[in-house]
Amino acid sequence: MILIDSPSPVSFLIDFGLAQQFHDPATYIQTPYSPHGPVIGTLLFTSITGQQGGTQSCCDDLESFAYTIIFSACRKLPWSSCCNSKAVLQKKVGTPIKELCQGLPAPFCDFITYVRSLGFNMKPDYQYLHSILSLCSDTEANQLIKAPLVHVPIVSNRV
Amino acid sequence: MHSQQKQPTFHQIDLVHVAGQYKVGKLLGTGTSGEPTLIKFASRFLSSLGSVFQGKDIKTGADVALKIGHAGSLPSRLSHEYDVYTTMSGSAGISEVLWYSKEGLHEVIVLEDLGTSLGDLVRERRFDPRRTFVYASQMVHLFYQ
Repeated sequence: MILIDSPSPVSFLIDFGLAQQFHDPATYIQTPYSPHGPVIGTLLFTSITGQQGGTQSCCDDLESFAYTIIFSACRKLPWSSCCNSKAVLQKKVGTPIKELCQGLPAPFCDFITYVRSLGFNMKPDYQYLHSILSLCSDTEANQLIKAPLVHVPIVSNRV
Repeated sequence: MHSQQKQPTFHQIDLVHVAGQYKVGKLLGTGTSGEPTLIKFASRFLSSLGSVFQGKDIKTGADVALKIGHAGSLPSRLSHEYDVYTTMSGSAGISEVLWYSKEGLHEVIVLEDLGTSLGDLVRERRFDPRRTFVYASQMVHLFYQ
């Protein structure tokens, strides 16, 4: 949540219904990874691993956060109009990062690449991510990634 | 034929007051992004994750937000969420829980009202890429604080 109308906007973190214990507070032993769990979270923003049924960690939260940023800035995601879970996943996996970041500052591609490269039990470098986002907020409008001017051939499905 | 037990949803909330102090107002959110095509996939989470309603503290007049779920399963998602809030209480960017309890068939967390939801701000076109990244960098700062 953001108190957008206050003199200096303040962000709050809310909605911890799906928060899970990631490691034992006493022993620091991590929750084991399982590739075949239930899919939880809002489909539009769930990480690729999460949507495939893998146990989610803070790295998946960061991927979901990246999708939330794109949604906030562009009001849609490439898979917003997909009508089922399989189509959403296909589009999430198949959309090139540069296309995903269309209309956004170029450094944001590094954010997506980094959060998607993180493994289940890796500790994210939050300061690196913060530096990318700060760079993005300083980017001028004329430096945003534009839609590629490519000729798209019409492909017929007829044999 | 596979029969599914019909889960009560946010439309059927019949609470008017909570704890004799908080008046329940309109529905603010249901835990989905508001994308019509995707709501059906999230609908099975509604009853366990709770729905958020606008509210008012009738003693102080302050605006509040009420997260209301069904007090059926133990341990419930809402009581778990309350534990998370309590653990992180006092940290920057974490809202204070004003009240939490079970109220009849429902379980309720009362939080301070933090204004317009992110989804509504997006729909109202209050964001552009630059503003989005100013807020996003604030949020990442909260993650590692």
